[in-house]
Amino acid sequence: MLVSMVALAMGGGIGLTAGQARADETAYSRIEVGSPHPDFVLPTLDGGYARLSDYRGKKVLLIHFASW
Amino acid sequence: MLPVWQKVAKPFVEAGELVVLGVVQEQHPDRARLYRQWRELDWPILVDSLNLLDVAVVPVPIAIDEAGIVRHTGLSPGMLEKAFIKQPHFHDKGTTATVEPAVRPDLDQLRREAKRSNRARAWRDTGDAYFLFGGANGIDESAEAYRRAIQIDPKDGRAHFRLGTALRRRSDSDRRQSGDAQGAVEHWGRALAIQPNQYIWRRRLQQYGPRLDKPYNFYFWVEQAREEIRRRGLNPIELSVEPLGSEIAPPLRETAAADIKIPDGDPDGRIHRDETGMVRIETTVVPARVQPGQPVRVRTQFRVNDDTRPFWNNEAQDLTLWVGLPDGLRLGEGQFTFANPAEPETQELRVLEFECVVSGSHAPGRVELPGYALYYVCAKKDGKCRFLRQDFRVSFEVDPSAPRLR
Repeated sequence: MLVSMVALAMGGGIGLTAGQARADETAYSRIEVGSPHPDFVLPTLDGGYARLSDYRGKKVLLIHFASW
Repeated sequence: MLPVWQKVAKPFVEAGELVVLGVVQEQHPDRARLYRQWRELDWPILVDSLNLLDVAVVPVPIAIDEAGIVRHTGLSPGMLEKAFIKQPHFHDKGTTATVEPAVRPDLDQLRREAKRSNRARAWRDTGDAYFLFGGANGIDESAEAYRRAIQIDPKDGRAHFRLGTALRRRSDSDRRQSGDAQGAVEHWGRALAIQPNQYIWRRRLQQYGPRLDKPYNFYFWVEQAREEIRRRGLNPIELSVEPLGSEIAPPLRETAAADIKIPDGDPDGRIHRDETGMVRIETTVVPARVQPGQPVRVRTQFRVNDDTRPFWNNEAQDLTLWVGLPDGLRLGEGQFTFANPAEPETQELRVLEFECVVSGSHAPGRVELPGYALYYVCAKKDGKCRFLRQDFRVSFEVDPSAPRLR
């Protein structure tokens, strides 16, 4: 369900499980090597939406950036 | 950084061995569209204006294997093939849970649930969902939900940051309400005070802030990008909000030594006031709370009335600004005149910005700057042109405990 995916991305913070995130809302975490990347849904630049787990089965390089 | 990744990753993407997803961490996604066109990036790019993924710095490359397990953070382009692409059997170590198809969340239900539980977290999630999935109308619901979250938990830095982002988005849209731009700055400031190491939040505030606080002039690349795209025979992607003023102003390392004096264009107050609101003025002060000895940047924005759509009369006097300075403040630098464009009549958004430096010995408390603008506008209905004055007032807080942007 997209609702739960959104909630996970929103609440989890990268690198935390949903449970941990709820226990520690102030943790601005870094992701952890060896742990699952929390799933998320975000709008795309072209008007649709994309979900990380839709790419399951492929190697993914996620690059966070800003054009500033 | 990104062009290097583009080059290194391309053969693996084309061979079906790799998917590259960009995630842009900024307020205006269309600027990233222009950047993508300029740099010829051919990956899907996702937009995280709300910083939902809690990324605190950029750029961050994260390598995720076939099973969704993070294998590298901070991978260098030179190591992509050896350390990630050619590593076999990553998928054996992770789960292979079935992925359910995505469906749109029921926004009304989320809001009802937030109302019932009245938990800060439920309201914040509702704000996120309306921002992402609520379309143009969702922005009001989103801002309202974040406000409810903050009422319950005023220390929720994420809710403050996201409310700031929603208010700025609304301020840049046709749904803008008076005070949205200033509200954005204030909530970003509160978020940063709660979590001062959140670099993405800091950048958002710096984007509109004093030149002393800037690491470099943001969006300096926009003009270069447009020229290069045009040279390729293409039309550059249009920006819905043009970077102006503080967003492109180069940084200063020191406050200008000499005080600037601006002439009072209407000392006796005899010029007719813009009583019908032909022009809407919006002011923003960044930061909203400032330490003694530090600068604030004031943005004044002039927009012709959305309903009556008058024209700027460019064959007459330029739009000018006057600001009265109370004791303990001096002008650093700024623009107080908007030079008329070459066309005789236009309707563009006009922005003038200036900086004030608060003296180091300034007492804590509210500071108010009176000001006014003088401009020539012509009514669309009958073509009648008038020279008008409109007063405004800018205020901010001098507070020794205010967070520093730098």
